[in-house]
Amino acid sequence: MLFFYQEAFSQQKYTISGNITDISNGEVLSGVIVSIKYYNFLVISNNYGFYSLSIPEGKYTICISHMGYTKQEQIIDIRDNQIIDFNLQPKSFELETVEINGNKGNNNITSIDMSNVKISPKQIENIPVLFGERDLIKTMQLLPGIKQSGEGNTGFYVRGGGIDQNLILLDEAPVYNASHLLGFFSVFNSEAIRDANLYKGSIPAEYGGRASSVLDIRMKEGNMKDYQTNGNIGLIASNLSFEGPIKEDVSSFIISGRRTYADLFLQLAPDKDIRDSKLYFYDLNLKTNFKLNSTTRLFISGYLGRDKFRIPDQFGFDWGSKTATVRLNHAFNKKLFSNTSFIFSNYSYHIDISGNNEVIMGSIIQDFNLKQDFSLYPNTKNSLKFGVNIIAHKTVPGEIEAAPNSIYKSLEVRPRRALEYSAYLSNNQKITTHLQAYYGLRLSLFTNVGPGDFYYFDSDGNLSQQVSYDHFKWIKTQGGPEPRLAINYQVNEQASVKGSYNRIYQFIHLLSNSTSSTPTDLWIPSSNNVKPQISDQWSIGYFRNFKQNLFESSLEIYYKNLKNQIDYKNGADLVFNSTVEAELVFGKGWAYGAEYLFRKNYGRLTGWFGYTWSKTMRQFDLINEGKPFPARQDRRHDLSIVAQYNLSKKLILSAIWVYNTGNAVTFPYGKYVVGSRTVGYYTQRNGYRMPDYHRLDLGITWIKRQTSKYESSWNFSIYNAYARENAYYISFRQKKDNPDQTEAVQVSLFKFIPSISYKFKF
Amino acid sequence: MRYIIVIIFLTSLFCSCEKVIDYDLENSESVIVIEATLTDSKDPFTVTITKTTPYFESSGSAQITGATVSVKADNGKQRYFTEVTPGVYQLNKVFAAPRTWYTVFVEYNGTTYSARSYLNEFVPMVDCSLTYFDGFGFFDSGYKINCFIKDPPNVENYYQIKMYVDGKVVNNEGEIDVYSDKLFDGKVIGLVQNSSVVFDKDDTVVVEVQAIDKAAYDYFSTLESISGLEIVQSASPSNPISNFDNGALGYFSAYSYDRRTIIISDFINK
Repeated sequence: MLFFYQEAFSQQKYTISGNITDISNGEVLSGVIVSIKYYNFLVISNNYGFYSLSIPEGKYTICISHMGYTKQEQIIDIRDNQIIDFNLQPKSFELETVEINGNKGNNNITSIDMSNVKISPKQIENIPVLFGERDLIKTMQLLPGIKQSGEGNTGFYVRGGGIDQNLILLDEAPVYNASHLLGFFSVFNSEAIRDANLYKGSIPAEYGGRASSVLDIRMKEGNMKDYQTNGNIGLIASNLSFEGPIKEDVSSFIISGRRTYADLFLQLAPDKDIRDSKLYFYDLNLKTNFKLNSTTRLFISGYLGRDKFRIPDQFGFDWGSKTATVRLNHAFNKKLFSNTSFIFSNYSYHIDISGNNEVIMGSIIQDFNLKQDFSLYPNTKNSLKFGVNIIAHKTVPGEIEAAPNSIYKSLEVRPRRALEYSAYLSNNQKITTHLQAYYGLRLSLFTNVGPGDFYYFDSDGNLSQQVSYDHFKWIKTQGGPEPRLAINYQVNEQASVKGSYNRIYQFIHLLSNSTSSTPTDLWIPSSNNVKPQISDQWSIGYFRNFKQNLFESSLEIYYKNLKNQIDYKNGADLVFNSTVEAELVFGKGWAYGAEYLFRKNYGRLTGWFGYTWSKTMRQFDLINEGKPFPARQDRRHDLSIVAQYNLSKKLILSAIWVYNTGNAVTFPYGKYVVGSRTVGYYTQRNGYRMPDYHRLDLGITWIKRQTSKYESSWNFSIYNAYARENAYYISFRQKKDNPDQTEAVQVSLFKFIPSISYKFKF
Repeated sequence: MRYIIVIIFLTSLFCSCEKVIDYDLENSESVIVIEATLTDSKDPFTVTITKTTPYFESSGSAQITGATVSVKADNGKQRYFTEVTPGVYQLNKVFAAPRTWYTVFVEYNGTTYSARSYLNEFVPMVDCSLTYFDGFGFFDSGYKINCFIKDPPNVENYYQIKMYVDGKVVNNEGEIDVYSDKLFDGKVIGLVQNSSVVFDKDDTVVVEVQAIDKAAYDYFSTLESISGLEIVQSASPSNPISNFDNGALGYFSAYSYDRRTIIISDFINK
């Protein structure tokens, strides 16, 4: 009887909930661990800094810990539902001595997350960079399973997936082309970014639409307390941010801009055409938020970035993205949290063929997106997420606007419209103290919607029928259920075993045959001729910490299966072609590998060691005689070491060393002469390998001044310090002095590039 | 696309460096390569037959001799070529009629390779003009030639431009000037010289505009995509689309052409 009585009594539970913010600027903090001392209760604040925890009546010590912030403990007496907000104190920059007894947090062991990388600009501020321009994506490429697409490039492949299989979100808005200057810079200005989370696998049910990964980037919200100016002056670009309260503790804003100024040097050129040429890019990030009341908050954010290139009277070319997000957070009660977002995203490019605006060619891809997400915390054992999402896509594959007297004809390939809609439900359940499971289901569907022209082809690829559809006519619906599963068995405080499975549909596809993302990349939607890509990924991992979590390590193994992969026929005409679908070929892919990461997050010396072994294959009936071939990003070994050493309060040294075996490439198997030209004879796709790549970067940061109000520091970096000539590409050509003979030529970029940047804050 | 210029410009900024390296390439079995052309004028019909060779060997001795070469118009009789020099086969004193399909047959080692090409009607040049190119980056300054033609409406037309100085074709490595009327159908088209070759004021240039068929256009545009400026080459190159069957490389192009001689200094003085 007594037993039952106690059980009934202990079920008398109350909820504590609230918001967690940074005390210095009032910004919300996500990913903060809220735990109850001596009990196995633990929750993590969501992307909006909200947490909720249900516990039986009683007296507890609640611990709030977050990397880079002073740990907070508070004794609470729970007798009813309570709202407790926490303001965390950022650790001022100081030499952290190794705390032996301190609990450094074993979130990597206890959380269900796997195959997941989280980075904030603060963590990467001192590592060496190319041209003094910090870049989140380039840092992520140093982690296992994430491969850089080319020297100095921000394009990336995740676990054998293609570049277009990464869902890149900036404040929830998809970014279709995340690169500037042909990929040497990403569109993400680190000064405007709060944090970034990359899911390589075990992708939660709230995300969908890209087959391989999700990179979720959140912009800073703006200081709620004080006005603050941040800036960074580099060799190629500079940025400046200004943030502060509109009304203290109620609303704030941040505005951040970045521009390159390589073109200013063009002014020094003797040639007038070069002086009048333009070559630059800029980014503008804006965000503002309002606390409407204690439970409701409104966020408005936007991004605008563009690359411009122009040679007067010759040629003009510009491209870029625009995104906007309006978001309303509301806590209905202590257990139910809601987020409503309206999102706009647009990518376009324009080519001015003659340089005088007489003929403009262009292409646009545009989304309107409505999202409703709920988080429900019924008790300490379960946290549910559910929601719906609808996206209206419009793609204009190509149009030409020509002046009436031009030799060109105005032309428009009719836009394609489609709706992508989904609903999901997931639960993270703590089954026992050692076992937790995540199970979710997302239903993703995609419908081509009129108006638009659709084409039907016979088996030889010849057009057999063209049908024009009216407004709002539903043409073809594809998609299906996507299970998302994960499990964590915690062996002890220091070790756990995790596993996951997910399926994802991808409905819009990038047609690109170049090694990096180019501004004229063409996105095409699924249709009656193009099936959605489907990926299935299984992964298992062993996570182990050492020395009171001073060292973290993980070993993960994955297998990924990709269906309905897209490539195109040799000589395919992709531009201004309304029947481009006839040029496509379809196949499949598979990838598997193992990733090892060893990381030290605290102390004078921090950094990580990462190693990946992987294999990535593709098979198309109409390519390579139907035989499987390695994908371009198939690379057997990948190794990176990142280290940072705090020499003193003023000086921080850093170093990066990367090594990888070569990508797969297609080179000739013979040669012949046509006209007077020597041509390579090709038999196998990607049958050769690029040479091994390795590089050392060094950096030193000198903190000139640091107080709570002012900060200034210099960063000196050397990219490729031992001037290794890594092959950017290898080409084969006739010898100039003897056309009968041929030679292989290697071109390398970036041999020993020093750079300097100055960072300030006031 | 002219954004190639952007790429060249950018990479030159990043102080790229180039060196000749040793790279081990495998050698596949030799494959036959056939280049066949016929025109609507007095030129002999010519077929050149070679074979592929290991990549780093000299390509001097790749000619194929002793093949049987013939051509046939769709409504005509089969005519045989004679081998004039090793690997070069010609047929003289024949005239090709436009608006006709021709088939070339090459019989060698027991296999017959054939290809069809359509001889289009002659499209005259209506004008030529000269533009002075100021040079940009490492592109030389000098004169470039633009040719104007009146495109026949409502049919697909394809063109190739060749320029000769002293009887020799001039182009920079890898460049091929082929054009489609896809965006200009039925208009007077200025075929702007894409090639980076520039001419001097003392040059005398023979300009030839060929009206080619789609198969030849596909061949030359896919050929261009695997040669030339390495950095903008296709990331996964494959052999150009050939109209020959049975795995032969090369092409058969029947074309008509118009020629003009341009004395650059005369043009400037005008």
